[in-house]
Amino acid sequence: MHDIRYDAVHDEIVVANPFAQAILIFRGGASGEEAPIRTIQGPNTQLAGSTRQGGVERLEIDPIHNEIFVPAGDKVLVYPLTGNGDVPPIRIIQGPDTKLNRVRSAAVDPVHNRIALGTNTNYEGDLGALLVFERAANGNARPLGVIMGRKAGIISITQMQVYPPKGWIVATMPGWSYDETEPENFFIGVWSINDNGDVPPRWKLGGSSTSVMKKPRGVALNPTHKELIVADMRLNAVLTFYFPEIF
Amino acid sequence: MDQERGDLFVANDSGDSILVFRTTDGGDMAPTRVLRGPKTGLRNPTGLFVDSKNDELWVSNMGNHSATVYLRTANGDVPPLRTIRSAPAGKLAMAIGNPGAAGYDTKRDEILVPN
Repeated sequence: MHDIRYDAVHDEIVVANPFAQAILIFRGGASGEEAPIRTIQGPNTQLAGSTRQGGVERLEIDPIHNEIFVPAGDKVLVYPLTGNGDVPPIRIIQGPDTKLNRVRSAAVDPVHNRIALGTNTNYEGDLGALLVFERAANGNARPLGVIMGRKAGIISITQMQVYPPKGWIVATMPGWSYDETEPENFFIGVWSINDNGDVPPRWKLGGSSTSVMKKPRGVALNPTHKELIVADMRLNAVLTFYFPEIF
Repeated sequence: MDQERGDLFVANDSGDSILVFRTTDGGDMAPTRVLRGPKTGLRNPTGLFVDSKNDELWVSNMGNHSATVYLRTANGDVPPLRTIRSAPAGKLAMAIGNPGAAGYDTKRDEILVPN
């Protein structure tokens, strides 16, 4: 399983399973060998072959508008959160105007009505980007904002979260090489959902040889305790940082 | 793989077991031997080594901080000949392996980690 989201509105856990080319939805608090309560899978979903892993690798949920977003190469597939079975996407963001290329991560801001999408390297010369769209974007839509450049320092974004009350995008970047165990240029960056251009991160964690982190790939937010939770692939660990500035 | 005897050993992480096939097997074949059960001490086995010289099978258990050693021909729910531990017996490991994401359950104040 390569991605996970907790849906606090419906008390459900949503999981991406690339090898099964499926989105699995479990009840909140699921434990042990428990079957999913819903599964989105099948030829109509268009999930098969959508990523280098063979299917859905990462996802995002919008419990307010009941949608699931799946970044998949040069497109984003959108499904109903209540979908079950061989469900076709209700929207697809795709086309030359979107500037989507190797899009791999997504985070929804239902307050500002935006969706942030993270692209991988090899986008306009070995730079990744954060593309911000209208939340309900469809088809060959133009991004409202493109955060990209040397100052931004975006290479490849794995998991992202948005803190909607303040419009912060929190993005994990595991560094230059996906296959290196301890790559350089890894960091966790925070941008505004309204940023555009070559904007440096408002806050930056890691990115130095003295950092506790080695290869951060996952991030979650705990607004109650004002904490940032990081999954580090190299350390096989979960790190929690007190980060009141963004809450 | 034990090429001398034609055995293929598989560490079956999620099944808490070691499966042994013939190297000539193909298709939907049942294993010739299965090492599994509470006496084995197996817990999320992720690596193994066949010691042909001493006729033993070594298993690394990601789930309980241990390496366990069996007869190469062990089958069923058999206890290990020896166990090397880096934690008290029975202590389960966090079992975080290659975490690529994290989630936070606001209702239960729990961190979710897919592996």
